[in-house]
Amino acid sequence: MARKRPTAVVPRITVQSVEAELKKTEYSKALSLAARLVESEPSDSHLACYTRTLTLCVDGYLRQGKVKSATETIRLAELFAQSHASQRPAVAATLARCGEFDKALGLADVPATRMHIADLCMRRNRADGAPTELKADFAIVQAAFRDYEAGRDDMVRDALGKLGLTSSFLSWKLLLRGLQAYAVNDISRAIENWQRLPADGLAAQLAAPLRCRIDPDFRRSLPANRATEFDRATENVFSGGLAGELREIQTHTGRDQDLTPIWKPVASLLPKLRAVQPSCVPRLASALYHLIVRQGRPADLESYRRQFPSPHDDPKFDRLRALACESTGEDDFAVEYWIAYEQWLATTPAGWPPDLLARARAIVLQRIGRLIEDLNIADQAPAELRRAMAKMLGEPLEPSNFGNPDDYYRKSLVLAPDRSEAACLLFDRMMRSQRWAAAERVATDFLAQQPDELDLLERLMDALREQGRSVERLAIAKRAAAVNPMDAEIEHELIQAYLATARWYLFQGDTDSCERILVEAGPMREVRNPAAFGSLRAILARCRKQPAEAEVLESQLLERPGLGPAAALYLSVLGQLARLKPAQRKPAEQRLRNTLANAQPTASEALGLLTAIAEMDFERMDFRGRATLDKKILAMVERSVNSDANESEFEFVLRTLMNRKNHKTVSTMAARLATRFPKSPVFPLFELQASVLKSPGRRPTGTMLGKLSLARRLAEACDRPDRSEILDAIKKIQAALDPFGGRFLFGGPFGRDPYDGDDD
Amino acid sequence: MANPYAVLGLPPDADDAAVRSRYLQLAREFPPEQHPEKFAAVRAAYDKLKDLDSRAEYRLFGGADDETIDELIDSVIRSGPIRRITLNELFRMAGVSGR
Amino acid sequence: MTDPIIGIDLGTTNSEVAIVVDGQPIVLPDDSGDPILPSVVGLGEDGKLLVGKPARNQWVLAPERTIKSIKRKMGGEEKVELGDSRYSPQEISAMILRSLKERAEKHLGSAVSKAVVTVPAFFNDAQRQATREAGALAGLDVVRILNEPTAAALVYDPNQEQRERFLVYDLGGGTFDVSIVQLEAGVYEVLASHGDTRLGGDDFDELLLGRVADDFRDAFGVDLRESRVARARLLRAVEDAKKKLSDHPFARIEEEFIADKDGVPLHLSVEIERSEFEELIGPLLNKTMECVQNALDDARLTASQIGRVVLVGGSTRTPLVGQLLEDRFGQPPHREINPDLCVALGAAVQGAILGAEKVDSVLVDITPHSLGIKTLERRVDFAYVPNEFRFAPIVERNTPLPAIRSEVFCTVADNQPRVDIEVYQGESADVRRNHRVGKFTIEGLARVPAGNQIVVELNLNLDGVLKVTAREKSTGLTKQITIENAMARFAVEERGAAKERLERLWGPSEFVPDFEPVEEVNRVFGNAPALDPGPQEGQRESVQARALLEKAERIIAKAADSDKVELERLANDVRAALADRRWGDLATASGNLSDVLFYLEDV
Repeated sequence: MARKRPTAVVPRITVQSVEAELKKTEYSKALSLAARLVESEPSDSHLACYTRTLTLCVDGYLRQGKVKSATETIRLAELFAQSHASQRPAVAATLARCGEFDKALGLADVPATRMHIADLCMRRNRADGAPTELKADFAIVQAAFRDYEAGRDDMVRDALGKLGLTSSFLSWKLLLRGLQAYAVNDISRAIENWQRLPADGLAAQLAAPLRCRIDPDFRRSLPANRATEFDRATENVFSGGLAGELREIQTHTGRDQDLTPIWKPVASLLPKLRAVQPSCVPRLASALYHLIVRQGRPADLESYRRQFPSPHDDPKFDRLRALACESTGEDDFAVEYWIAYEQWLATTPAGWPPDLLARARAIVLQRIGRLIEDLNIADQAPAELRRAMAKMLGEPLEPSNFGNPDDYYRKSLVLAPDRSEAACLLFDRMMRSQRWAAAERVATDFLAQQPDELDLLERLMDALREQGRSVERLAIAKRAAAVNPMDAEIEHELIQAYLATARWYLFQGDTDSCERILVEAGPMREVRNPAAFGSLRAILARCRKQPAEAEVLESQLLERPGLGPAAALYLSVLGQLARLKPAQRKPAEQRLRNTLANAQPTASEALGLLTAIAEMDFERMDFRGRATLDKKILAMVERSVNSDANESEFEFVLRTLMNRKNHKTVSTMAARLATRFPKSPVFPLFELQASVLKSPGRRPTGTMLGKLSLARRLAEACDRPDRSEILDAIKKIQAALDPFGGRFLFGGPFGRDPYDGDDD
Repeated sequence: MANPYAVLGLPPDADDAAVRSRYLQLAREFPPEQHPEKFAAVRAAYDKLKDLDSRAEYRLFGGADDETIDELIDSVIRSGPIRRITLNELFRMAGVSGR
Repeated sequence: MTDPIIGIDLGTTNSEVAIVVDGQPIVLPDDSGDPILPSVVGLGEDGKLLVGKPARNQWVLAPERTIKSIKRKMGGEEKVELGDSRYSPQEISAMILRSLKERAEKHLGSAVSKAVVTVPAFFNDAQRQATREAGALAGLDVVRILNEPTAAALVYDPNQEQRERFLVYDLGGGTFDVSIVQLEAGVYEVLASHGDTRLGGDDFDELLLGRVADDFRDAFGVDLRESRVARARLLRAVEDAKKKLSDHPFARIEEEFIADKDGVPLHLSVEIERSEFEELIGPLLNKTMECVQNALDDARLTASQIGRVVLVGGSTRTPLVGQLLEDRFGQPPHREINPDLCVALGAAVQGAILGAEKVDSVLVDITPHSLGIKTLERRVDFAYVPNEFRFAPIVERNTPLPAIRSEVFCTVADNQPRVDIEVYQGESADVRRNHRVGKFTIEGLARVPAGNQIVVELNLNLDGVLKVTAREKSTGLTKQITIENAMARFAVEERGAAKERLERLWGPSEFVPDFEPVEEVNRVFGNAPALDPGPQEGQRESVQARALLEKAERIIAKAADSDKVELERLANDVRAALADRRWGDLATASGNLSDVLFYLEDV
């Protein structure tokens, strides 16, 4: 096949290319292109294009002040129109708009030409050079506008009645009637009139901004920018300039923006606002108050005070300062200001109903406690980090001296004894410092007021568990379950409380009470934790000297698939704690040894064992040989890595190990599993988490970062239902690897502004 | 968003029961079916005042979205005294030279 | 009678239609007095469309020509086969709706065009849209989509002054919903809703069928599920057994000649104990109990704060449901109002509320799903790939409707000229797991550094119509879109074709309602024969034309001479058309005249 030789490409001129030049305001270029277009083919559309180009060029030149070019173009247009009759009306319109009335009428004496002459008269505010009959109507319209502006609507009506269907000023009649309707809020009538305005006339152009406000269809037909321009323009006229100044202030509102430039417009706006709309002054004050909270500096507060009185609720601006400091992270200053604000509230200022005042104080006091807690956490930062921060700040970090958060929480509770938040915060602090009894007191005191508060009931259960007070714990668990029988977590706590109580009686030697508790728990609960309940029942039988029954129970338990290892562990530990005779315990211990020696345990066996030992930790069951046992269990779990289990079973195992902080085992197993399941994002993640947690504060190594990006890649590629949770976890690790902690900035196409949305 | 006390027509010392009964009354007066916007405003105000904690939080930290410059602009435009637009203003608004 | 609004419960297994008569809602029965219409659609042997009982009856014999439980497919793209054609779920639902519509028309003796249709509270936007579409295809204007549990609560007496909280547990054939509704001083407030749109009595049947078929296979080596007819017979049998187990400790399934093996006929005969059945469905019921807990959590309530538990939906007849709820709530659930009918009754009540000027009770419903937009999340350090799929909820779930909420977002790039607003519905932090409901772009933003604030406002009304507005804070540049529920995704031409297809399938209706709008006239003239339609047709037009001519004469008298000629010409055109009763021409001529008169009138 013969190839064609490439031919030179001549750019084809089209209507579009002319339009493009016009858009760039390249008028002479547009004109010459359009002329060539007509030359090449004088079709109707090409002729129209040339006329349009001529018109736009004249307008454009005039706008640019190039009178000479404009005049030349007009001449060109005239010549063109003489040879092309179809283009005469359009050219006549252009001539009319340029004031060449006679020439325009000479070219095409049509109503449109006359309308354009009338429009120019209106624009120039004089009618010289216009035909006589136009002059008469011009005078009528001018007078009508004066009457309209003076509010003499009847006279307007009479005057407009004189303008007939053939008047060249008919569009001005419509404009004026629309304005009259608008002035009396007859929107539909205004729209009706303005809809009939010829689109290329001046009257339509003048009506457009108002029409844009009231006529949704018209608004939709405009480009968004144009509509916004119209809005700006009308707003200013409507508000006597106030809107423009407010907009000026508003341009400076936004994240991280400096407020300094707003105070000048505020100063110029205020007197006008006071005169015209005094009710808006306090509203402006309130808006500015909150602007300062979000983005202000101390100087802004001073500017504010020069212009506005102090707000009723914050006479010394302590609250404003406190909130502003919080938003910039200066928590220590925030605490100082909140303390001052709370002291002002304590003087019982007017305008606060007593209950609201007490509640407000309680909320502020609790907030102070929280802030101090946060400050203290910063104080507890690793020495290395503290040195780095001190260097950055240029001064050493001092521990805060605002006192103990406990005291603020307590005061808060005195003022609002039914608010559970402060009580919970206080309780959690006690628990963290292992003051079980004090924690218990906080919960009991609160529950004396609000007996059904689940947050505290659940916390009280924890405190009692830590103290090993099982009987009381069970009573509280039952109370909680009575409040919300639907809650699965409470139900779980209740089951654990039954078990703990039954065990406690058994270890006391009170076998009857143990039996009673087990009966009370009922079979529905026993099936939820068969290993723990079953082994307890077997040991109970042994304590009651019923070895035959115990044997039956034990063998039933050990035979259940997957339950064996956990049961073996329970039987051995419970036997020891129930002080069975060595001979009675021997078979159980032998069984446990065999289990632990299993060279190829399955993942579910490993998981069963782990869960059981975790439960014993949680329940604070202490027994001889605890440490060695733990090691052996971990060794066995590690061996399960070779077993024939699936991905999710191993995930369970690793998760349980993570919860128990067995980081070393996790990292060994995860490394092996990562090669075995190369598509799973979870195993590299576990490995990484474990190595981060094994030695916190260590600088991240390249391998760790590599693992992180591997995990992320795998997570992004996977379609697991918990995909986003995994990605979240990856982000958290990223944050942990960052020595200054993970501070997130939200972006978009736009993102949430961290300073917004804090108020709700 | 206006001051919730003003929306509900309640004094600053209104208690839980007063807020609740006023809300129910207004909900019957302006059901969501027939008065969606009015109801939405009533409901938003109710959520800010419905219990002592909400009221105290509102008094302490709220109000940031009560008054925004936007709403001020809105109200200066809406309540502006001028309704009769002059011809000169029309020229100015439309950005047309002349006059 | 002004346009009645009927209430329709469009269920997975059964559907009902109800209206309010003299202030009391009643469910309308079919000719045999049965209020329930099975939600089954089929084609008869002669290719005739069957809806309801006849379709259900033929299902066992001709499962390939019969469709059940279409509700489970609503909102999806999947089509179903019926005979030679494939139908969208909307079309199948439309056949059921149309049957109910005709039932109502027969009872009322007049045309019905408006309906309140109920859906599970947990239906998402797509599923609701599909329901609306089904209504439109059936010739019904769905004036409101109402949540089923809310409808059920509406049936209870609204005149109590005391505050009362219901938990409505609605387990139907294919969907599960739980809602907490508070009633006080005539105001119904939905506090929270949860549910699973793909869990219901059908699943119980499937489980039971699986068990029986497994046993049969173990015994005879034949899998009954492999033959469509055997499967259909078995399903019918287990459905009956399930119902029997509601009142009896055991049920027998006897099906003779259900299969054959090597030419030997096999009979099925098994006995199922209730405890066995309960063990099978236990996990599903536990799932519903989790939803109950979630709803309580969302409403910040505990079980003890619930005044009464109301059961809705046929599947709640299974005694274990009542038992589980009684265990948790410490009170027996209420079944005073027939659980099969109360949703339709409530829909009719809502229809009456919508139709009446005066409103006795008020309903404050909520949105069960969060609505928000897609945003980009970026960390300070640039090693991290930004997450561009972050979901930023603006209207949180359980927000009362109508809801108007706004949030401020920022541009991320300097001089960013435009932003895309993509609106999603759902609860996941990752938008890809949520349902996208719409998208638009706002362009022409100010050329400023990153951080340009854009206020996004979502306005969700009771109909689920969402208005989204984005506004550049500094300039006020605004763009708005409205995401209509109705018809948005069902292309118009496709809708037309579907409607036509349905008409064809429907064939001549057995009942032709009396649509003639002469009811008023007949009342006045007793049983006088209907008037000649000619004058009636032009009556309004001629009155209007005469008024227009009067106005024209007034204006012509005052008009300038130059205008008079033109005006007279136009007026004469009108007069001529009026005299000749050319109604079409009259409308044109009147339009021309009034258009010109506008310029001269001095109102």
